[in-house]
Amino acid sequence: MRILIVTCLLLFGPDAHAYLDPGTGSMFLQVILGGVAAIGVAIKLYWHKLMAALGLRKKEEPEDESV
Amino acid sequence: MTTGTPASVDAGSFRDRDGRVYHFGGRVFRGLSGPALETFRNLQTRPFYQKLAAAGKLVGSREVAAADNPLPDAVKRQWAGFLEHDRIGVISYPYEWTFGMLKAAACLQLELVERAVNNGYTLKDATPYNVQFVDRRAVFIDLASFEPLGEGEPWAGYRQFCEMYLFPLFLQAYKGCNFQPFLRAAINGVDVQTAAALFGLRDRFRKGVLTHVWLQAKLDRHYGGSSENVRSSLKSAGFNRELILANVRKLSKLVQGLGWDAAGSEWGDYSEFHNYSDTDHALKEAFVRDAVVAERPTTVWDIGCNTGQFSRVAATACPQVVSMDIDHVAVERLFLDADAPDNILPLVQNIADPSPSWGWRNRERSELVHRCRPDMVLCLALIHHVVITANIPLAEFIDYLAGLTDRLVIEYVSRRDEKVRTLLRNKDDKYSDYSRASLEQHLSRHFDIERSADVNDGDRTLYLCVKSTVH
Repeated sequence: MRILIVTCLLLFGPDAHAYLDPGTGSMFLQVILGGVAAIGVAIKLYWHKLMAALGLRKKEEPEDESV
Repeated sequence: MTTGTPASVDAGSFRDRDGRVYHFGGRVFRGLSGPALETFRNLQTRPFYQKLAAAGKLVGSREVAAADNPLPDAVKRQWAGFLEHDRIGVISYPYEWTFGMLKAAACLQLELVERAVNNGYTLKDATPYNVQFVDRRAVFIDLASFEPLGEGEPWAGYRQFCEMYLFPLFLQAYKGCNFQPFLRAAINGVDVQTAAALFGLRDRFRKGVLTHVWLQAKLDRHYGGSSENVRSSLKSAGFNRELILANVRKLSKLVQGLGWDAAGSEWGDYSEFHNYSDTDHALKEAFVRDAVVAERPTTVWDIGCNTGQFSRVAATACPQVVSMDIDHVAVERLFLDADAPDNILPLVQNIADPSPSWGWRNRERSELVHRCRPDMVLCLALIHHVVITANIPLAEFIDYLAGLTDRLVIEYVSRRDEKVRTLLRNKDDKYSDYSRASLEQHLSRHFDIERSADVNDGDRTLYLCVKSTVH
């Protein structure tokens, strides 16, 4: 399961740049570390990123508490 | 929390914009922003918080009424309200702690996060500088770290927890490498990429390394430059508190399971194999006891304490003993000894390279003497290590001690002593200053020698020295 989540995150994550944003990777990691509780979240993350990659959804999600 | 000039701002409390620590007349205050004050007031009504406070896991704190606030108006105007904290006897830093102390602090940090998250709060950071040791127990001192947990928010302090607690503990437990130099070298601890470089392929099979080190480093490299709003992405994907709790619980188990085999130290077995007969040992203990009872110091430093034999003697007649030694193993044994008195604070400290003032403006973390000035110092079986091993001139060492304290118990170890002969065996003996006469001469430049006693057939001599200004 972890391998699947990591693959999703690495495949569909944005490209890395030269400077560091120290918390980003660590925040994603917390999904993986959430274990079983994280499966649903990981699937949703994957789905959002897939939709964005196919151009069916805007890549930047607005701050919205309704989702 | 050192006492400074009236209303001095704590130089290390600048990072969190929601609060600032002030020292005034020997008291410790924390100014809070409006939201932080509201959080504190709400927290006080919550049973989980009350239980933590009642268990002594949080520093004793109370809101100060405006009319009772002694701070200058210029300070009061900056904040919505103020707390007063109980004073901590001696502030210590993680790079002065043993493995067991850092582990105890880590367990407390995780317990607080778990309880907070369970109750709709979180802790905004996870730094061991927010933990202090009072009566040998870890106590959390930064109450402004608590804040309400936003819906879908991850644990903001996770990465910091890894860098400041977990990776240093891994280094000690998995590599047998003292963690203190790492924490003293970098104010933010062991960063993820450094940790990944330090732990090799074999280490990935050790518990927690694959995920917390290797994978975090991988994700950090991949997403490091990302402009994506990850918090928003996680939130919209349904990230929730159960994920934080699952992570924190697993981390707690991981940290609790970490152990360090504290064997093989040069000095750790000293107490079992000291160079004294039982009679001489009793004589030395009596000398120290008499000195402490006669001089009634409030704070004793035992420099080169080993496993704290003489610290324990001092602790029977002095409210606070700070026991320090270069040897991590010896200090760890003192910390882990359940029978050791509560008024001993054990610290890993090399007196030839003591904790410096450093961090932002070189004031964020201060040297030990600025945090706690001793009114008596014990230097037992130490002087040969300072002069011969560390090559510090005897005169300079005595000058240093005289700058530190008014009362000194020091032991001279003669050249006939086996340990001195061992130290000199591979060195050119250029230590003409190392003699009893030289020591007495340098001591008398600063102190009156009140008493002296020979032990070990005169191979060692104990001195009680007191500055004439004290009497």
